[in-house]
Amino acid sequence: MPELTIIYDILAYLFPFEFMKISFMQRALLGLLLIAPMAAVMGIQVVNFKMAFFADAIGHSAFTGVALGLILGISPQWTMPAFGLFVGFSIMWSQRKSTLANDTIIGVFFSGVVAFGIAVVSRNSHVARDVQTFLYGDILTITDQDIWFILLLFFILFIFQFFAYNRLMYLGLNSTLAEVHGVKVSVYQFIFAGLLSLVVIFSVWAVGVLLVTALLIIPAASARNFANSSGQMFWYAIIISIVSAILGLFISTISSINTATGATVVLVSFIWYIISAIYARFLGQ
Amino acid sequence: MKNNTIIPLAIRDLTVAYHRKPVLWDIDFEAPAGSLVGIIGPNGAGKSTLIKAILELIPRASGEVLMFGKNYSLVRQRVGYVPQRESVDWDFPVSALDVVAMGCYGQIGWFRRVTSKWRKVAREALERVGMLDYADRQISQLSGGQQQRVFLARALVQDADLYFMDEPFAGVDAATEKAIITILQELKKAGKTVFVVHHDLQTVTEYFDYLLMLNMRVVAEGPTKEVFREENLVKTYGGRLTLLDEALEAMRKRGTMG
Repeated sequence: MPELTIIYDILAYLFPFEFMKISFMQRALLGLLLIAPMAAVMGIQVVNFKMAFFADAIGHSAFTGVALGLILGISPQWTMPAFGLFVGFSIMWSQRKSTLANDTIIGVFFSGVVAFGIAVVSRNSHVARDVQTFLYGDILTITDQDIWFILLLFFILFIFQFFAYNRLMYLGLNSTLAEVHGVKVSVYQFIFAGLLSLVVIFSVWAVGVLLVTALLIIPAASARNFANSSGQMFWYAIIISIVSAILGLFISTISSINTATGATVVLVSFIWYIISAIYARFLGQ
Repeated sequence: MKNNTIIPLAIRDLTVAYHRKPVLWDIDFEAPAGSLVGIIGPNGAGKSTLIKAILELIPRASGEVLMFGKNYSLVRQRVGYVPQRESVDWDFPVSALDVVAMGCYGQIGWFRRVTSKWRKVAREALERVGMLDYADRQISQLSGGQQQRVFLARALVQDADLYFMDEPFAGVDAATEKAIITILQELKKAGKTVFVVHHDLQTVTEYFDYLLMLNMRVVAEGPTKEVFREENLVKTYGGRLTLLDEALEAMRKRGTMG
């Protein structure tokens, strides 16, 4: 596997703190710096397309994915994204085939997946302990291999966004109109759902199953309060997400604070949201 | 005026079914170029379904649709569409100008940014529908009529030759209705063909020069003057008496007026 040392050295140089000399801190920061902008960009579309519940269902499938991996003796690194993709596509497919409301279908899959996860985990107690890590997230234990996975996803995602951004805007506004104008709506919806599933799954590493939706929607929601246009919203969400990730990581390591990193990151972005809401109320249009 | 001689829309034996229940039967229709075609019929007559089937948004059970003598997939860029207002997500965070610029995507290229040249095109279209002052407003902050005009402007920048509009007059204010009808006249003058799903029978003779009267089948089609008659209205609207009475009343009024 190629080395990531150069990037770590650059990070240590950019943030010349004592704790940034520790290698797991460097990895954690790099992981967050990759996950944060991905979550922010996908989060904007999740907010605009009203897919927060979908993202939440995928997040919870991570828990089941881990349980499955531990039971089958396969690394959760593989079972988690695979199961996340499976659930994402299953929901998308069912939404097309069924006349039920979208959130009803997601609710059905959500409960089915979580019930399955709990059933699997309850069968043996030592698995239960491992699964707990994924409920709260643990970015500090991220490995170089994980980083490479995330790096790959990062490039695929931004290439997709570069080519598909206009089309996604169009079909978010009105999918029929987009279809008439020659956008292959179902293709883009499926690719989007697949990428979203993967981003959600990798974000679970950072903040855990319980808070993964927050990582997606809080930066986007704050950005929407600050922004006057969709272009501004895009950049504000990325900035808010990255700043929250860096501050959250650093604050959580201060010895007198010593909180879970994921929760701290989400708390920082929540403060952003409060500021943005006040801004929108008193200073915005 | 390109291809004025070629028939903009020809439908042959079109049948459409939902869950194996037919909703449109054996539709045969040819539209003359450069005309404003009104599609009228009672609720559930299949008016929107017809447009969706023409645009291949829903599968056809049988039949053929040709636009300018070709399959739809080959002439997509020449076909514009204005959807029903209720089908649009009005909370979507885009400005009126953004929406109109989307009509240019096909010409700009899908992964380019909207440059100032295209923003100018979009602004001109907004001006045509009297919405230039609202260019930077979020669409959620516009009234129903204003939203409708923005979507009309979006269709205009596409510079299509054949337009389909699904109830553009539904629930709009008088200013918007006037703006839309002016645009329709301009499009007609430019040799374009526009299909409009329409509800208000009182304005049919005023707005459209060609009519497709629909109730699962084509009840009547032809120049408005010839087909907008009592017997056809009775056949189209069948048992829905109140609506029919209003229509007949309107017709009589028009008859006595001229």
